[in-house]
Amino acid sequence: MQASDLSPALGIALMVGLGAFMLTIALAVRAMVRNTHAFVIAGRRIPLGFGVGSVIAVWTWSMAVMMSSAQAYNFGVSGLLWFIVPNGLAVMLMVPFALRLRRQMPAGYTIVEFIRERFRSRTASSVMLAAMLFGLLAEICINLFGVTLVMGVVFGLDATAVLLISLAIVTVYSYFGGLWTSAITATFNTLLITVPAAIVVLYVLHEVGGPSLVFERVRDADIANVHPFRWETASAFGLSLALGLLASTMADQTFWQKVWAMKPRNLEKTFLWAGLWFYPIPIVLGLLGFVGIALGVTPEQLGGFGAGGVGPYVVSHLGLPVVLIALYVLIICNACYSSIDGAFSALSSVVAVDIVKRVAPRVPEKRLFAITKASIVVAGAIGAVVASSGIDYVNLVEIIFFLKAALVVPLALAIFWPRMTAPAFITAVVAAIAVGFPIRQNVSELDGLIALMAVSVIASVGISLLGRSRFDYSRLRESRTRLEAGEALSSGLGAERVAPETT
Amino acid sequence: MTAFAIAVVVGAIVAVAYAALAIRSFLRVRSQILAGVGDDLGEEATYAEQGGSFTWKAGGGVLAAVGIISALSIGGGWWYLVPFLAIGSSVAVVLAFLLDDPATAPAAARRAR
Repeated sequence: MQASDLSPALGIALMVGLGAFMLTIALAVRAMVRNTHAFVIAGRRIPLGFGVGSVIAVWTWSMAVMMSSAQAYNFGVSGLLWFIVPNGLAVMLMVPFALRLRRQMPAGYTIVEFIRERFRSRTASSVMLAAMLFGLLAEICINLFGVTLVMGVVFGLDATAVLLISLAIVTVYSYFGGLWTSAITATFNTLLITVPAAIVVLYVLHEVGGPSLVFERVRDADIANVHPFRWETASAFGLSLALGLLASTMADQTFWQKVWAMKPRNLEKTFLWAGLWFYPIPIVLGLLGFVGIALGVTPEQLGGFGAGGVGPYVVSHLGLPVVLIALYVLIICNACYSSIDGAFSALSSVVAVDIVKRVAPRVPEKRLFAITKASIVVAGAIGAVVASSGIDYVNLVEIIFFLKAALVVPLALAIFWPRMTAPAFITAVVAAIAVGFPIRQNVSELDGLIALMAVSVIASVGISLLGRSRFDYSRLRESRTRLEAGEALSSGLGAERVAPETT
Repeated sequence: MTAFAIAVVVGAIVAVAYAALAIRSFLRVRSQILAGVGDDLGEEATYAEQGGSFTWKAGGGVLAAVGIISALSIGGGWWYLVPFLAIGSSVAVVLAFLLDDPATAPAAARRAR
């Protein structure tokens, strides 16, 4: 297999061209965003189309679309099954939590704000704030890795240059328009991921002799490749991934920001449709992993990029027309941009509501708006430093996601169980990490995660039952009353027009 | 090559419809925002009427995904289904835009609005 001889300038042009398109949308959106409230919560008026489109794109991480090919290449059909099924389910499982929390706290902004209102504990909200900030930075880094990988394999571009260009592009267009920009650009990203994915994969299958031939070669390479329910795959990564993914949605402000920003009547439909219609994306791109097996691509050929590089390798080594290779690269860039701008937008909401408004409650709206927008630039700069520092940030990201899993049980109980207390929340998170992390490092990821979850459940329930307090969830509604009264309140964020819809 | 050609044509049609509806939806929301419409906080009933059949729908979705991925292990012919499902993801967003549009939404959705 010969690598296509593509100019690195084409790779840069694709990144910049897509960025210019997104910037055009951002500039059109700009007039809709006059204050911090509009910037971080989009007037709570995101309609169904932009809701579904943006959630699909935000969840379609650049690394994830390449990992589906990688897991198909490594484990066959079972790899695809264990990688993909929990992914879509994690989005759909947001529905009960979203309905419950938005109903109880209709005028909320962030999940950290919920924890603060729920427990009235500085320690509990600080734990949640730290988890959000690290989680969002990790999200930015892992998506940068995806675009670095594809640009490295296809165009041979220098990783640092790709990182800096990508970050600069997303930072610039995210700066204008906040959540509106993120939702609208991400919706276009979904179109630019799904249709090109179908076209590229069908051409690849045709080019290598058709799916039947590929299937036969995959089966002949190892009969286990076509067994969908292998326990080895579940224990190797499937079970730990499934548990970890729940944390990736439920303990992620990127999703909660959308919960509070979309029209309330669309909550169930948005997450249900997004979860269901996310499925075809990694499935179709996973087929490239089977093509890799059929063509006899070896790990040595993939080099330092590992199995994650199998998709880009196949696409760039089949002698495909340049336009199709460009389409594939755009799929990855779209996935990268949408996830990063979603993380930027979520981060700006946390900075505005949970940092600036806490430290300086009377900060003038103009200054708050400026700081909120500037936080995107600062996050971009931090992301650039981390991603270009040479540290093994993929490992770092995996660790952060493991640690985030400690939030799932305490957070779910905080939302649904009135007896959950602040000491139980804090102890559950800290003890789960203290027990689970060493086991993960010294035994295995799965054992570590099981221990983390077990400690989390025991500490949450046990310590809560020691007390007799019951939280009155109607207290969360007080924030709505204050909003309706027109106050720019504790986290009012310059919301000058906040009457409920009467149409 | 026939499947590729069909995907290009269908994909192009879906892309045009998708972009047109997205732009229309954006302009409608933009005019509402610029006209000063406030936050949509929803009423109690808005939340109460959702989530009733969530378990069935999500369970059905997961089973469908498992079924489709498992079908990949039956034979190559099934593989043609998957790229068209990817285009289906965009069709789902098109439907979402249509449900939101006062001109095209079903009567029940208009009443809920």
